Amino acid sequence: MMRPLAVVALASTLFVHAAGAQGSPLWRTVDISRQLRDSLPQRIRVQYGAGRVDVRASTDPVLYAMHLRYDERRGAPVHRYDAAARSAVLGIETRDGASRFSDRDDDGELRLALPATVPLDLDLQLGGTESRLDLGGLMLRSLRLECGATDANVIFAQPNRVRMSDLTIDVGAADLLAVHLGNANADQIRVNGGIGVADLDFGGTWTHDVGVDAKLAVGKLILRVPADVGVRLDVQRILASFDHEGMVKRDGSWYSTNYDTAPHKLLVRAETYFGQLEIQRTPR
Amino acid sequence: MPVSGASRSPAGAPEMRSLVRTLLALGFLIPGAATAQRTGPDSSSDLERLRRGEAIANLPPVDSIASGARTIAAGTTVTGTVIARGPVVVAGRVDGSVVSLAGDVTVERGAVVTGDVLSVGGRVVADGTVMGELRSASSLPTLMAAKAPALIARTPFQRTMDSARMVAATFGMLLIIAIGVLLFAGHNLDEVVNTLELRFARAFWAGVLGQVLLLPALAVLIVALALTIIGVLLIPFAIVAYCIAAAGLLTLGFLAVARLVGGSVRRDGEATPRSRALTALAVGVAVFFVLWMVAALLTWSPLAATVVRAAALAMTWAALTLGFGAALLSRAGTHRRVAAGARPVELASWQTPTPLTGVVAARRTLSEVR
Repeated sequence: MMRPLAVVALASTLFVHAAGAQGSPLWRTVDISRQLRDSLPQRIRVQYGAGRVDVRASTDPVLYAMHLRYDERRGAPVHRYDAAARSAVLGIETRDGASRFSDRDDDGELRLALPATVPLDLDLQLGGTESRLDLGGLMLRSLRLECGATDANVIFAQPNRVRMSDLTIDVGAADLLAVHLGNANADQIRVNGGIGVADLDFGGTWTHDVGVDAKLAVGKLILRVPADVGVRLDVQRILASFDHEGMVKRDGSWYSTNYDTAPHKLLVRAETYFGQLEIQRTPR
Repeated sequence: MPVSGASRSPAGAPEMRSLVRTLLALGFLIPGAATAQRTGPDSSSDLERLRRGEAIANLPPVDSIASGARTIAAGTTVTGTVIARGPVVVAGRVDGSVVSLAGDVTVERGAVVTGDVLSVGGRVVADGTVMGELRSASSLPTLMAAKAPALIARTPFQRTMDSARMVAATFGMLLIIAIGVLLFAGHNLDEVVNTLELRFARAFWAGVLGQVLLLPALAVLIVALALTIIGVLLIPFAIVAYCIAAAGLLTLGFLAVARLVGGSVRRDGEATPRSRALTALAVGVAVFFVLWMVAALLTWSPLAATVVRAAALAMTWAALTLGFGAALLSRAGTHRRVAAGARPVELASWQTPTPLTGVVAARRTLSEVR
């Protein structure tokens, strides 16, 4: 009785180990950084398919410091730096034949720290990720965020230390929450959304007027604007509702009541097709 | 846990319990040990993994790797990559990269490394200057095996059998589709067959034209939809619907050609129309698959297989073109006038031997009279 049991147990154990060796993920962690040589502008592109992403400013003298946890069967780290072009490409490349998304990608992780003392053009290309991008305190000259099926939080807890010419966010099927966009110090903010909720909070420190170009195909677009900021809204909507409480219509545009006297103005052009457009005034 | 569980089993078989423990322990430990050996510092493939996985260049020969700790003293310069199986301390200058396969790497203040610094299973502490990257990894990267050798390793017989299986499976699927079409769109199929019989050349040229215009028509459709905002949202659905419609027309047309060919190869005068149609379809599809099967069975001989496959491809293309054209002309078999309008009048059926009730009766067909 015991001998067959032992054989079965051994066979099962070996089978489980063999099966594990064939199909289970091969997790590997790696920390990659590069010392900072000067404070000249740099261009950094981050590409990441699926998993958790965390980006923030670093106080260490590094050009980048990246922590990766990834499945070797599905991807390989990318860390290319071109000193002449002053550009870096960081993240994970999906291997040929591996599908981009799977349940176990949820265990993958990218944590990236960027220098607070170097002007950066930052390009983030994220796939199916859960992202927390705490970009306050950096010196972002431009920011482009492209994400697919993403739960993305973009936070400017501290003011961006240089004027940002362009902040572009392209989201596919995503829930986007952008907090303290006033701190982004951006001249122009573009948000292009496919399906989902785009919640844009314009709190923070305002130093100049900001233009916003927001397009959302299907879903909800929420603009949270501080009460002391004047708002002008040009809206195009089809089969979409628009909550314009506290706004008055003049010459085809919607204006907040304090528009003419406000020290800073938010000029919004919004297009939404199926869904809801909402403006909320937030207290300082 | 399995061991403690075994200790609670009834007395009387202590040697068996011991055997179970040993086997279970071996079962867990052997693969683990093998894995440890694969990723451990003793593997002879470490250098290859460093070169390919970590892009470490100028690797030294295996026998020059320090087995324990290594120190580059202040004031000394080492040219080339430094690798050790223990901790590495750099106080001088290394014109190359520094790698520790099982320990920390410390670059002291004033020291210089012109390449990368890598620690496997340890940390990198750099107070000095590192021109390249600082990396610490939990293990060396695994080199993923390429899939191509597995394909090359298959024998010609295996490849031949795989090809034959593929053709047989496709034949089976097409037969199932054919039966479905016969059951649910039998009249449409009849009309496409009739169109083929009566407008053979026209169907061929219509098929060629249809193939040429498939993509431009799709482009026009997309542009037309893009002109309106509602239309923009419909574009993905329109593309899918267009592809399904095109595939449906091609399949319907091909089955019509197969039925025509099958009907001419095998004539069952006694069978019912439905049975005749099914037999003709099966035979026709089989005729078109014969060449593909021959090509599959010749897989062991690439040249012969290519020649036969080209012939099969040409024959299939001709059939698809003809059928597609006929399906277009007959509007997927719904436009009955195309065939009916050109159908020769069966004079015999209009002959009435004896007028029964005047002129009106003369206009009746024989079948109506009967």
